[in-house]
Amino acid sequence: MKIIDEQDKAKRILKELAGYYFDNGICNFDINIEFNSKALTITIAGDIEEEPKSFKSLMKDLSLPRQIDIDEYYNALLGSHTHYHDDYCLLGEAIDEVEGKFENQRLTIKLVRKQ
Amino acid sequence: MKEFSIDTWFRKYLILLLSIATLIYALFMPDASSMLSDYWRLLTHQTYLMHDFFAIGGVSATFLNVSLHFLIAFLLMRERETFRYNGLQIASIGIFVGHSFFGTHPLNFLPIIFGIWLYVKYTGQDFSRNASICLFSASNGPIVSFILFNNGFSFKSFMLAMVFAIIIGLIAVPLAEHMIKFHQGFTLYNFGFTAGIIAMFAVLFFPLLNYEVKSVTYLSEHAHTYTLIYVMLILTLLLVLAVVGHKSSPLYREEYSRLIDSSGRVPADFVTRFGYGVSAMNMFFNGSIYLALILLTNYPINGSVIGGLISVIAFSAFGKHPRNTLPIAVGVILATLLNGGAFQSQAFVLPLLFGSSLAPIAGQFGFVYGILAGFLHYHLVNSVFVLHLGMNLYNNGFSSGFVAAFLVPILELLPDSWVRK
Repeated sequence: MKIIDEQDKAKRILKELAGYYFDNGICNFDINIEFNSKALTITIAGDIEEEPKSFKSLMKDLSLPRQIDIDEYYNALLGSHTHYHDDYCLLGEAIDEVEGKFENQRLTIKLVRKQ
Repeated sequence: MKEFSIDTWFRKYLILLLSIATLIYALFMPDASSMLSDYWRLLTHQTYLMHDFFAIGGVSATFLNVSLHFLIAFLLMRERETFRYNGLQIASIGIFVGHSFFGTHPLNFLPIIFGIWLYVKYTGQDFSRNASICLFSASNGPIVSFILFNNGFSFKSFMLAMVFAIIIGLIAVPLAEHMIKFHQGFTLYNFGFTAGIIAMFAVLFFPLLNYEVKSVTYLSEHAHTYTLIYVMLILTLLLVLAVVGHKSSPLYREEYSRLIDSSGRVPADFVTRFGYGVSAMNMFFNGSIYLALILLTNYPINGSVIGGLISVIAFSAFGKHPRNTLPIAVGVILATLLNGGAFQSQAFVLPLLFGSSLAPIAGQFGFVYGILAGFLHYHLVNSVFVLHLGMNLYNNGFSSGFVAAFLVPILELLPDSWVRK
């Protein structure tokens, strides 16, 4: 059951990230996923002319410490972003590490969630 | 940013200190000499809405019950060595302690927590991850008390009560996780809505068991002075924590400004996002505002009212702040005025306090829609009571789930220019 739960979580996290890219006009992006018994690692990268204004806010939200009980209890909300909602704190509290950069007109985010 | 003086020592022992302080407070109450016998009466009495424990067991016994709730919350939360209270945990402790004034005691909620423990073992989870849900789940405690004592205590009533309690515990966690989809996190009292659903189905069995739930209202007026002092002591503690936090954080004002600007939609963990100091300041502000509103009504602070105040304070670490709660309050006030209702009544003060669960609607969509949410909530809250017959202490939470689920899809259809961005 645990692996299924973690795979379900991976799908939800992907949906959140993809949602961010689409909401910021990045419609062509690459996704790489590594999923094993130790950790889930997702890297997403897409091209955009300028760094999105919300990127710093996003990184701040994603840098929040992992809160396992919140992550578990509110699991159903992960991946339910709408354009009204620019708060990614739930995603931040569901992951352990994040790296994000905007270089050469390419926006890259890498997340790690430990099992 | 490290709030050393709060984060290191208080985070581990603050709840335990509150338990001890509350016990001492209980011992100073005028009826302390009969505390234990009064507490026994409280334990063996019905507890469904509305049984104000100050009216059932007196002041001292009720504060003893509060102290025990703090102690049990501490024991449940301390399992993880690296534990750091986040906003959800503070909110769950607050609502758990709040209910200890008018509905829950160890006899009626520990069996439910046992049921949750069984669920956790069955699913191979870590029990400490579900500590907050354990505390929320106590709100169905009246079901246990009702079955235990409705037809007189017996071995049969004990076994039946345990069966109900364990089943409630077994289903609480998965139900709560799924109910969020119904309201999309636009009510802060997700478990309140869940507990209402659970109670609604539980009472379906009552006629089969020849149980009849008689409508009763036990309310106190004599506890006002003691409850007021107690709330003010808590607010003073929060002010001290806020001042200490202010001194250790250079970005205090900026962080509080960001907190106020947030929508409050769950999971709005203010402690993790903004720190203890800023969260304590918000808890102090919001708690003070609502205390002032209650005092303006001149309505005595009875068990349910102090329970509501403590829940407002606690959830001000997890979603509530003045900008998103006051519109809801305005909506409740408006509804009361238009219905010719009295401000000095349970029918007003409880929706005023607990209706703040709809704060995310005001936070996300704006002041006007917050007023609308409060207005609808006031009208709906009495209607939903009959669905659970008072077996869910979170009646307002139950109602708020419906209001959120109804309003939010409609508000999301509105043009962006009509709502707050």
